[in-house]
Amino acid sequence: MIRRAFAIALITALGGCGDVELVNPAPTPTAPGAGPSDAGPSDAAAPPDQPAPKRTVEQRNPFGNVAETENLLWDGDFEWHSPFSDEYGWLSGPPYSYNFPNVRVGAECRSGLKCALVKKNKGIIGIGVSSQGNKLHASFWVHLAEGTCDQVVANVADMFDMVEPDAPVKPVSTTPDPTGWCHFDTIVDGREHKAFLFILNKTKGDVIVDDAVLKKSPNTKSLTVAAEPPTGEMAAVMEAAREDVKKLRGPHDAPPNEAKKALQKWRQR
Amino acid sequence: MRRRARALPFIGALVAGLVASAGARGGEFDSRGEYLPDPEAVHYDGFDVEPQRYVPDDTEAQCKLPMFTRGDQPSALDGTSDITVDTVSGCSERIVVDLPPTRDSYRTTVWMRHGGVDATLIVQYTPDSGLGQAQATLAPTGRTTSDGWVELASNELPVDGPSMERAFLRLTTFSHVAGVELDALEITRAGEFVEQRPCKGVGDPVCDAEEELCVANACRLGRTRVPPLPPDALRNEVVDMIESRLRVFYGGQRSREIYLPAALAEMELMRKATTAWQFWRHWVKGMHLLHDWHTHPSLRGFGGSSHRLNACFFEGDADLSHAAWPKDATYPDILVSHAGADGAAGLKAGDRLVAVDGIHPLPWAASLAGVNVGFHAATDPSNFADYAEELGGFTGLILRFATELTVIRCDAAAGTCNGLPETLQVVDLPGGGDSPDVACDNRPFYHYDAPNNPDPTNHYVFDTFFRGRVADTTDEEAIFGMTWDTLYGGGDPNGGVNKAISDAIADWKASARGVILDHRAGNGGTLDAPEGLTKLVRPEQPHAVTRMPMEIGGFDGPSDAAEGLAIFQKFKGKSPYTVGSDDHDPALPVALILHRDGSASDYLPYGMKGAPKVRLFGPHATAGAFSTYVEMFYWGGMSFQFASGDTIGFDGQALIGHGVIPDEVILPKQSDLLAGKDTLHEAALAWVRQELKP
Repeated sequence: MIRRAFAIALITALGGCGDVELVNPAPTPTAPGAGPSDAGPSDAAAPPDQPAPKRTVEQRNPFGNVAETENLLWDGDFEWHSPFSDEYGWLSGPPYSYNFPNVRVGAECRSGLKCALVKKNKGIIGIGVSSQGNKLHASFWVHLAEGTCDQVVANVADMFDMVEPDAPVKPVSTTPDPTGWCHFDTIVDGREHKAFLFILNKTKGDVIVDDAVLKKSPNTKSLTVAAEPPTGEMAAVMEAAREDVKKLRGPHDAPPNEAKKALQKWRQR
Repeated sequence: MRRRARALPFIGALVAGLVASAGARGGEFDSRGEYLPDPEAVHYDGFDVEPQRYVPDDTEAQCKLPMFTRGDQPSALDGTSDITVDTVSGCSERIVVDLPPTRDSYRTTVWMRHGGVDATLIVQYTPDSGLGQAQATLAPTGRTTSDGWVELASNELPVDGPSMERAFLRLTTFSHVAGVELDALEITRAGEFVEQRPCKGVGDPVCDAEEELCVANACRLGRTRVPPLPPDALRNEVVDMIESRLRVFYGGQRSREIYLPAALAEMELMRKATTAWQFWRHWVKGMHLLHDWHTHPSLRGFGGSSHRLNACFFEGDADLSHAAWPKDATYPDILVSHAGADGAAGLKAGDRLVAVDGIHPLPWAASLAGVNVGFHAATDPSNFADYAEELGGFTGLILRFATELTVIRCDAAAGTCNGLPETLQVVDLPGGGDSPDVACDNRPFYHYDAPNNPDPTNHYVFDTFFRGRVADTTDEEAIFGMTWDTLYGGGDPNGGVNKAISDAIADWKASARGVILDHRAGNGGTLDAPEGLTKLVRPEQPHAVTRMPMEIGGFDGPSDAAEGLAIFQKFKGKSPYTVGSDDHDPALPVALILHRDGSASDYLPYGMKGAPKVRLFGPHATAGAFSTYVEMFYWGGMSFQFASGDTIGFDGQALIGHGVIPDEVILPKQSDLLAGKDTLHEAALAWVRQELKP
């Protein structure tokens, strides 16, 4: 890992990526959404006198984590986001709406080519479906600029009907891995009401969220985290979010938004 | 780490294998990660010097200033400089490229980072060449670098170099903080040159059926509008993912039952595609086979027609011309509802369109699934209003896809129609003219005092509410009306739409003895607007429950009315479609005229129907689009949206795909149109007069 760390340091020193582009290593072969990866020479194989490469190259899947074909989130990998969308698969806030402006593109993402930037004290809500009769396996990745993994708060929530309790989704570790990523991975109870994945950034910096998956889990699997009553603060946060989300229910044939009008105009050129 | 240890000397072969189907590739990287441009590239720009811009003469002022800066950048992909592009909203930047004056075919690549770029290579030809603009969109190949660079590439684009006037890369940026860096713009030879060829209409064998579409009388290469073919190793997973989005999230009870299987079967054909267009055209057709009012794919357009058909069509009863051309056993007749002052091939209200390319216009329009990328259909299979409405106009189906149209012209003064049909060739229709392009709103006439009507020369209703006292009625009758298309309340009770509705209701309660609502081009909106309008006519009650977007993955809907009723009972306090108000006016007759109405414009008649003093007038059921939708945008202008969810009525019926059937099913009559009468309005007015509020 020494050489890889050096390569990252070199790239950063070269000033290639401003403050929002977090130089992450090429995803490992197990990282979903990444195709076969290449990289610079490994610690074991590199000749001792060979300079570190300027950059490494990898092949990603531009459609993202397609291996999770049964993802119950509309667009867990953010690959189908556009600023021109009226009804995207994620909401951002508060206040929560279909306006979802902060998508990032490129190597800073864990899988595929797009991921979401969530500013401090802001949240995103992934729109999904429930899996009647099955437990749910919720997972996603967060890249921290600072702080600990448990400063990102997440739950599987019933935002519409407000019948089923919020189920927390916890990080595997409170400490990010060496590349800055936190993995959240939890099995929660099955749900009969529409499922949303709520992610709130309580760190003191921006975070990148990517590769969110909500999928059926066999009922034989044990719950990873027991449901727990929300803190007073979180209860208030969720209540306010639900009020926003409730307004979005039903058909929504919006007249073209300004971005879409601009796009249409641009297309006519 | 072993795989990584294989390192860069092997990367080229590995990646080349993954994207081989995309054609020739651009440059490679050496073992130090330095970019090596393809030595055989016909154009390469590492932005070591300022690139030349192209600014069209008609560019708006805010788009004229340069929208990029060139600067030193140690981590540029190639060399030590690149450009940073930051386009103004509604504008695009254009970077000139040099292509040889030969007939050849090219693939374009460019690298970007710190944001997204929508990029298109455009080639324009000299006016005397007679050639249309050629263009190819770029999409990611998946090749990325650890310092943030992402490769975009086009499919192969044939270029007729000797006739070329200019070529440029058009750019618009998104999802960035301070601009998007671009570097290593490279154009390499790839594919075979294909000459632009005129064609007569869809199905013309002059076009390559596997790779081209005949659109607006030219063969158009499908691959220029779609992303590269996903590499072999990923293709099945991409298909799995696309299909799963539909299996999990698409539609409601009826639309899943009667449309989803055929759509998925079509998409299965994507797996065996060998070219980009073969792959994506099956996706396009699969989306069309979902046959839903909220559902369609979208690709960048192929360009318009140089001809003009400035006339609008709708379904009707050609009662004066059945002797010349009998009525179809399945489909209603198609009549001209209104036409512009010129550019309409001489067609006028009441003339009849009997055939397009030799068959009835409605099945002809239906046959364009998989051909007309913008194909649009009602969810209710008995509703053809969208097909009819889209036949005419400057972007209409006839101009873009037909070879010929057959009409029967009528004489309004004599009140008769020709005994012989007349066939017109689309290529013979003249272009140009001074009159505005008419909008098609299914309203042959307007019925208020002139200042309150939409402009009858263009029919531009759009987002405006028009209200007034109905013409040819008396002060004592006090019959008022409203003509409008949008129900987008947007959750704001004081917003333009909801305020217009609440103001109208207040006025009518105060002074009207009858109301005629003309909503014949109902574009939908949000539930609050139809809920608001129903407050005029009935007591408050939960009328249905919305279960949308899809709540339970892959839910096929309630199995019977009893299960539906249980859902209604369970959620009527959670997600109701609430109609009415205890403050409604039980004595005021309200007629609602319908024609092409979907989504919130389905909920409106659903919420009105059955109220004691309400009557619906229309030619058929509404679109049955009782859901919301999901939008997914990919790169290069490719996107799709699809319906998700359903609505369960108070009687337990799942509503999607079941349009609201008017109380009085009436088709516009040809004889009325020639006489200057609006059949549906006349019927509505007659009923209101019978029912006037005391």
